[in-house]
Amino acid sequence: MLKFIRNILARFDKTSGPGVLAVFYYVDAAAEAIQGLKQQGYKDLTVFSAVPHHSIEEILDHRASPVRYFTLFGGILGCLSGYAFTVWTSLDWELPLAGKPVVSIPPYTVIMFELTILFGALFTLLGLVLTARLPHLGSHRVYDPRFSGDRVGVFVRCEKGKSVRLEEFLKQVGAEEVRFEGGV
Amino acid sequence: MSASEILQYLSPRQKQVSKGLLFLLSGLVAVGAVAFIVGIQGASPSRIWTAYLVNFVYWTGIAQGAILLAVARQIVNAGWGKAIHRIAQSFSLFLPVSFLLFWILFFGRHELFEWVRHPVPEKAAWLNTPFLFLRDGLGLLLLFGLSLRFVLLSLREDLILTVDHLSDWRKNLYTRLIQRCPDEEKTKRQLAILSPIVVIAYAVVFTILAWDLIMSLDPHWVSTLFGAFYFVGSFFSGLILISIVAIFLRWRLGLDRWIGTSTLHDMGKLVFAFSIFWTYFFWSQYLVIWYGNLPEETEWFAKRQFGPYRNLSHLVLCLNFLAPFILLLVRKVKETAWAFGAIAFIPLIGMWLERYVLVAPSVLGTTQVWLGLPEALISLGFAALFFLCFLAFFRTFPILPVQDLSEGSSTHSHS
Repeated sequence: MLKFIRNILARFDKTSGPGVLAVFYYVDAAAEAIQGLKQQGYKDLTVFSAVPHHSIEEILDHRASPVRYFTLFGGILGCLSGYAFTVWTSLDWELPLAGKPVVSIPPYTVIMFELTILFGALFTLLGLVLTARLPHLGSHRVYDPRFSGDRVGVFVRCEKGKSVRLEEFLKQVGAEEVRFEGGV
Repeated sequence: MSASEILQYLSPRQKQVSKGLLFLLSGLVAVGAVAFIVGIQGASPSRIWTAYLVNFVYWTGIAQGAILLAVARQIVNAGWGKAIHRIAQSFSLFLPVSFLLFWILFFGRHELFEWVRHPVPEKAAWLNTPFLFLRDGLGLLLLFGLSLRFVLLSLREDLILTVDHLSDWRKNLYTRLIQRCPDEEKTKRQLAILSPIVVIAYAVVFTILAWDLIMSLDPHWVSTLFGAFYFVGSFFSGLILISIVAIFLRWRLGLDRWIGTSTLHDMGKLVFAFSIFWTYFFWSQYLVIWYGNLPEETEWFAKRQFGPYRNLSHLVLCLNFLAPFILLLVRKVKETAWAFGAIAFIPLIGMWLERYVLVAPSVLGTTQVWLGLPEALISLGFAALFFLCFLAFFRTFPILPVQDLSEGSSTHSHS
């Protein structure tokens, strides 16, 4: 059963094989490779990097991440919760203070603000986990620990027989290492 | 594009300032001046002086706040927004004018400052006419002098690049300006030293200006945050006007290839952030005073929160915070020139009203809001004067940092 679920998930996972993985030392070379791949019509590209590179982002031209909607929703929910919570507790146990109204908005804005940030952050995390389909339950994934260091990786999904031309191209634009990943 | 190609593109376009526009602006300045002179001899001179003071702090704040963006870019050696660097400096010619306008306030001191009419003995060491005009005058002289020096040094490379292509009156001016700069190495060093000094001078002088020209209108009220509130607001309004002018020039002169979507996005984020920052400053003062509930502190807010000024104060919060916050939250809006440009007008007007709400209730009392024809005419006069100064800069210097842009386009400057 678990294997079945894994296989289903892997179908949607862009970073499971089969395909060609190229390791780059220079960001510019990686960017050039991606540009070339896009021109040749490859759309199933995944780039690994330890830091964001705007030049690569621009070339990849991915649509904006849906995680921001989680953040927005969390933020609004947090703001409303902050308001509801402060008003409810004030009304539940009335403590008139210094002649001020029992429900006084100015100090509540602090709680509303804090909860906006808290819920926004938590929902961002939730959105990240959901959209990245974390955790990966042991399915084979294309990765190389060097991508957390100083190398940039480009993974292109393709069938086994069709990889030779692709591998040649990637080497030609300056990949340090090119290898075929079999996938699940 | 090479530097000379950029210059060839820019210079004919920058010459196309119509005479009609100059006449119109000069006419508006004259109308504003007449309205002011007639007004101060009329029935309610304090109302006219209020309008004058509001416009003085507003336009001076914008001109100096805008330069601060260029200074900040210089300090952090920013790679983004190269194309707006010069636009941020293009209001600098208003600074000497503003310095002259400051001294006119001397003649309105009786109308504006309650402590001139009824001196406050315990504060007399600080709040007395000679000392106030001496310290503010010297402060402005220092700040404006440093800022203009910064602009000159920053212009140097472009002046040298351009001077050989010129044959008109500017050749003479450029040559004289270049002579006032040290060599390239020293210019860089001076810029590096000068920039942080301008920031500190900005914070200090504008703080004192805010105390003296705005806070002292209510001589018994004290807010430790007030100076920062004023200079943050000025920086905010500077950012807004830079964005509007950049978007206008981008459309009018076809500068899309330099002022790209990413630059607009960056400016949009800055305006968004400083809208929040302005609100944060306001709120952190308001909240403390609300909690403390001391009559001598709350009185100032009560004047603005209740009575005739109530709606105007709420409008200011909406224009400067709510509207920009909601509208600029969307990335596409910040990246779309016409949308961002249109939205930027909201806090631009909002900041003028904010200055008005800071000044007017203290001078004119709270029986009613005095916003009408005299305020409109004087404001138009100030605005026209401001844009005449801008046009003088625009006609004289390349509006893009030619040298910087010739090495790489600002649209790909992130990496």
